[in-house]
Amino acid sequence: MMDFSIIFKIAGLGILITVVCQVLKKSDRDDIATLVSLIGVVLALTVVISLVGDLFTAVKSIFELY
Amino acid sequence: MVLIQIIGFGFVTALAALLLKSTKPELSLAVTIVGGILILLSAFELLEDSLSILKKIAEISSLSSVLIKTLIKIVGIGYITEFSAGILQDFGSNSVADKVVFGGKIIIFTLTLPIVEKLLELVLSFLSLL
Repeated sequence: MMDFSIIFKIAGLGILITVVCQVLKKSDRDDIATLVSLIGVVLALTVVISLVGDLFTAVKSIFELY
Repeated sequence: MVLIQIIGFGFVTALAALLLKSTKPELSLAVTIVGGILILLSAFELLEDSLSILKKIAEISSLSSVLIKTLIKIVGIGYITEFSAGILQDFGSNSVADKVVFGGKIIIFTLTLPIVEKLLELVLSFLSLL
């Protein structure tokens, strides 16, 4: 049984990072803003990649690949 | 109820992706991928039982287990390649997605060719009986 919380987690991360980026851009710190957005993307992608791995192992075990 | 769950996953994913699309498109893509994976995982839980029934039917009808295994394997390869190609298409790189699908087709072809060869050998053995 999977839960919705992962979707909400990533959506919340996106909104948070957008707000932080806006604040940093308004206070003339564009370099830190790009860094923050990059870190957000990396964090989201780590969650996504672990889930993709879960899916692929599930498919492999169900369909007996390899 | 898996159906309600899948529909709920779809709507929540679409809404979250829509929310993020204007500000952070790359994170909207991440949400879309996660939603797709969750939907597929909840569907695959059901599929596992059906596949065991299929195998039992094959056992009863005394079909060679290699054939059924190859069939199921081909379905799995199809699912994985289609899913990855869909993600790549969402990402905007249609050409790479096409290549992934093409690679999957080649793998399926290499899997099916031995079966075709076996069939032809069977036909040849029948011909030699005449």
